[in-house]
Amino acid sequence: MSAQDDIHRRTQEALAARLLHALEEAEEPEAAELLAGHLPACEACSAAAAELEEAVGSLAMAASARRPPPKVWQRIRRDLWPGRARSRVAGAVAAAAVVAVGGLVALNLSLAGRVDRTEARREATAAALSAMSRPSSRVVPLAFEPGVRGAPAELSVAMAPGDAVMYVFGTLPVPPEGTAYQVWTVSGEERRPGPAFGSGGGEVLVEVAADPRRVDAVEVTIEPRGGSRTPSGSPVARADL
Amino acid sequence: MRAPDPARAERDREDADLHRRMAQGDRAAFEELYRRYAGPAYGLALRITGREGMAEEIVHDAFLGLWSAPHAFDPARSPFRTFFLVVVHHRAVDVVRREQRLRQLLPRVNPEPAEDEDVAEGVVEAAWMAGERARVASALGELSPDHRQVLELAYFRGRTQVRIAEELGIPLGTVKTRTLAALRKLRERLADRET
Repeated sequence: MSAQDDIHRRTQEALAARLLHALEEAEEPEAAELLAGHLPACEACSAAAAELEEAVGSLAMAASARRPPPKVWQRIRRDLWPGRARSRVAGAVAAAAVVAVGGLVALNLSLAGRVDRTEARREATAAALSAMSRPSSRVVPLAFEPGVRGAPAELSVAMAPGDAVMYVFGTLPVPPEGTAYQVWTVSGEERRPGPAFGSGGGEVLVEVAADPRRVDAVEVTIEPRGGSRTPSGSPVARADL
Repeated sequence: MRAPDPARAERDREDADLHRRMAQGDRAAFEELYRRYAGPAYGLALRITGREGMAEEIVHDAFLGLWSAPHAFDPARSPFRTFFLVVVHHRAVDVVRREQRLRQLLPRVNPEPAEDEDVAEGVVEAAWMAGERARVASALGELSPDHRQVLELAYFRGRTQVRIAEELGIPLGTVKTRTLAALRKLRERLADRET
């Protein structure tokens, strides 16, 4: 195969993969380069592109149509054209960042105050997964203060629109003896206490009952074991929402 | 030489017109686009994700995005339905991949979604759509099993080509070549079925 044939082939293969959304992230730059570099100047490949688009477009029709439940339309209308003033407008909703949750390490649970850990763990994890994997959910990383004892430390907060619950998850080192971590939700000047939780020096997942629409920031502090009503000191980690 | 289907061309013109009016703020036009394409969108999202809740979210977000960013659609490039279902497809595949990653971390929490079955109830199709679907299904049926398989894995199961190569135990290059060939063949079979 000549070099010329090869570039046509590679370009069209990249196009096919891109149209099918079947490229890995690592493959994107090379594909983009091929498509930007070769495609515009090549009639044959441009013609092939139109045909490939049509073929991929037709695949969508291979799935049976199915009427979504009425609540879908009702929610769309409510979000786009609310009857009364709301803090969220259509643009913000539509543009809600969907941040990849990739990069998580294995999650264990550390739930404060639960008796039946196994069942509670399963339920909370299922709920968290459901919230995190919805396309309209947001995941925001927390920034750590320097000097958080031990490594690794990595936390994020996940929330889904319409849910009055947030999930803080990630990895934290064991807190000092006799202490626990505690989550706080910040609204204006007010800091509301969330659950206090330990860490076995590994992965944590904490459920926080809070309406994300009313929360400006999420903070984590180190408190006496059992938690406090007001923060004892400045936060070790924080995310502005 | 095949002639383009006149009914489809007419419909594409109507859709482009609806979209243009919607972009100017016409809610009735938006509602009509919903009436036409929520069904195919939901059906596609359901087929790919296997979950009603997720499929509902995807449809919701796709239509919100449509209203909020109408200029993403260029009528000169493709028919509206192609553009819109590409958006839905991308979102659905992203959801599936995120869930796969999460499920790898917590294998026992979320079981694999059941294989989507065609359910008679709740199916709503305009006659033209049913015709399209039959045409595509018939064309797909004429592909070789290898070709059908790579398209099924990539398009409907949301696998990347790298992952397909791993799963099938074949080189990535073969997957890419096979995929291109499959789409070309599909295009040919579809063309055979034009008027």
